[in-house]
Amino acid sequence: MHEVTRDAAARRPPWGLLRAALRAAGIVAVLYAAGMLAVYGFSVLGMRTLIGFPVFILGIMIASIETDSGVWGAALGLLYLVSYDLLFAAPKYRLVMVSRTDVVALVIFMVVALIMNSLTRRMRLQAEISARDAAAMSLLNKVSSGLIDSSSALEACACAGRFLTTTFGRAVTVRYGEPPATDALAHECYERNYQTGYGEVGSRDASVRYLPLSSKDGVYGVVGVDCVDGDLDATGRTLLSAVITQTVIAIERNELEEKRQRAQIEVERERFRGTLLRGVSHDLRTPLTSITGNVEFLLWNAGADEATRHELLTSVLEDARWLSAMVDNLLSMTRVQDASTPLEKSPETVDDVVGAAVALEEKRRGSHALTTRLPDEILVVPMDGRLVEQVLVNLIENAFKHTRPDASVEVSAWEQDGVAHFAVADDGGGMDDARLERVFDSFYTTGSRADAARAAQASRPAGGGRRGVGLGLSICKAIVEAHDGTITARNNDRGGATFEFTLPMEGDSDANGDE
Amino acid sequence: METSDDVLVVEDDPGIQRMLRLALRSQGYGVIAAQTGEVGLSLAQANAPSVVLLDLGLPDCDGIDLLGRLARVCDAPVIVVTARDQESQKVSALDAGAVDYVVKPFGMAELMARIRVALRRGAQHPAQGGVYEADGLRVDRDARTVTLDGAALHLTPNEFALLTVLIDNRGKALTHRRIQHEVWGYPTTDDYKTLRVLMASLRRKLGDRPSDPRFVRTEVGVGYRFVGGGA
Repeated sequence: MHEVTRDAAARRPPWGLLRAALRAAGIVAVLYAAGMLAVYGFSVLGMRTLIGFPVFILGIMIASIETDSGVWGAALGLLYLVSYDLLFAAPKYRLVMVSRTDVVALVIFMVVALIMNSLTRRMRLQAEISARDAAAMSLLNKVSSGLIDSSSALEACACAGRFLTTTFGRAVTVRYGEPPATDALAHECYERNYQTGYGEVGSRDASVRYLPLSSKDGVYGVVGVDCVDGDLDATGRTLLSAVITQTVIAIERNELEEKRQRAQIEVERERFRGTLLRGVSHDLRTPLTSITGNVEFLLWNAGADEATRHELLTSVLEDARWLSAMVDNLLSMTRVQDASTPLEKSPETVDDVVGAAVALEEKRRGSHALTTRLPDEILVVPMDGRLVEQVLVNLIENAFKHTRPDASVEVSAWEQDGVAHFAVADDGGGMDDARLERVFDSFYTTGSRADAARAAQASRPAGGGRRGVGLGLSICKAIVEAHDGTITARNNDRGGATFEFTLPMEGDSDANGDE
Repeated sequence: METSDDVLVVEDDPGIQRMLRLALRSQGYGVIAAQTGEVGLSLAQANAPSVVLLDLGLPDCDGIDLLGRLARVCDAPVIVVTARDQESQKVSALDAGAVDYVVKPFGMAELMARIRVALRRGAQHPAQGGVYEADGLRVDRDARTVTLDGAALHLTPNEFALLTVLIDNRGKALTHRRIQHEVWGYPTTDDYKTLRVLMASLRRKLGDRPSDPRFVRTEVGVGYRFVGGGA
């Protein structure tokens, strides 16, 4: 946008002036000829030649408008008068001395020319102002649509900054947030919510002017306008002010949106915690009831036989271990759910993680067979070892609990296309499709009477009499997904189910470890 | 046994204390009990126990700090008791001088095994050369040979060093940091990746399959433990 403060004509170069003068002379010549012809025509038609004067006024008006100068119009008027006197007024073909009529006519011609000139100039100015305002409006429109599309306060400020820099042809920075204390003027602008810098009292050497981005709710940031080549003009300042207002509106909108999203996440988290607590409390009651009952029996029946004592005490131990596993799962869940602490990954070998999980479960396998199948090459995968160990433990436990007592469980791992795959597969009866779909949903517990009935109908027997740790599989899912992996369950071709999950390897596959 | 080994139990929870006392006595150990770190320190100084069981969750002082102070007044090996899901505590304790750890809730069998290993350590002289032989594995330190069930194993120098470190500390939990120091002598620059890969390679040569490791057990998040020879 150009700074239109001066008369456009005055800024034209000299050759342009010559061209304009030639054009004006041409117009005057045409109008003169036309005027004379008109008067002659009227006289031929028998009209009184006095009709010439209105015609001359018309000519002067047109001349003034077209040449944008009263001088040419006045010159034309003089030409008309002299010619009329010479050619049409008695005595003809002789220039009589100037009479009163002539003088008055000339004066009126001058006035008309001047008025026309002034009028056209004002009209032109108005047109220019309108055009400028229209241009400003369309610019404002452009920046507004950019601001509306912004999805963060920072983005809005960047958009405004880019726009202002391009529009004004000078460096304009729109900074969101508090400026560093090292930038004293900007900081003062932010703190005090007034303009500082170039042009303000007390800042003599500043070349940048700072304006606050603020509303009645506070100061959001600072706009810095480079004034090394002088300040903006009035139109520029108005546009700047309008853009600042729009930017503040966009900032407030974005901040509000962010607040709303955070509040929503909090609500979700609270709701999840509530569900978790309810589910856990429910799951805890059963083993606790069992423990209390068994121990009370043993206390009140000191004469109970050895076999009964052994059976009940074993049951109490199993319940205690089940509770311990539940606690492990809950702790893992809180670690994964805590969004503020990212996972601590380290380069674990598949041998280590699978080995540890299998070693733990080996003691609890009963009559199940537990085998492993690992690749020959050493696979290193970045992961939180404890959490992935937990996943494998949960999956193996799950296989033990939901299969025939003599089913075999195989844990395997392999690499494919830069992704590490882990699988826990059994051959102890599959799952129906309905269960497969929901198996990772939170607190999907088997062991309710409805589920037992359903399981009895399905090919998989409701095994072991143990409650399912509904939390276990959903924790597996949470942990795997926190590693950006995927977990699936399907029926396999050995008559059982396979739980498989993947972990990204991030291109870390060089296994030469000896240096 | 003629002279019973004394175990100093520093544990603030009375229920756990009672349980430990019963279990330890039933195994023939003498028990000295303290409920705070300060009391534990003075008892350690006064009674010179054979092994110390230290709960890291004591209310009156920092467990790791206490480890250092204990080491100054008595040279008994310390087994720390930690809560679940506190890997960093375990590792710090081991690096600060504890010889082993158990995690609540722990089984008695596990605890007794750890105590046995800790007591045995006092009688060993790892600095000596010589031959280790157990469970089919024979390591001759001077000749630098290793045979497994009669067949010779070809280990790289680092693998041999790693195996030696494990055997010298058999039964005990070894942190990655400790192993790194013993084998390489300088700190890790790749978060122990080289160490882990070396361990995997050594295990394969030892014929250790994950489902039933004969010699080395992984303690995820902490390090490794040599369990050969019934250690």
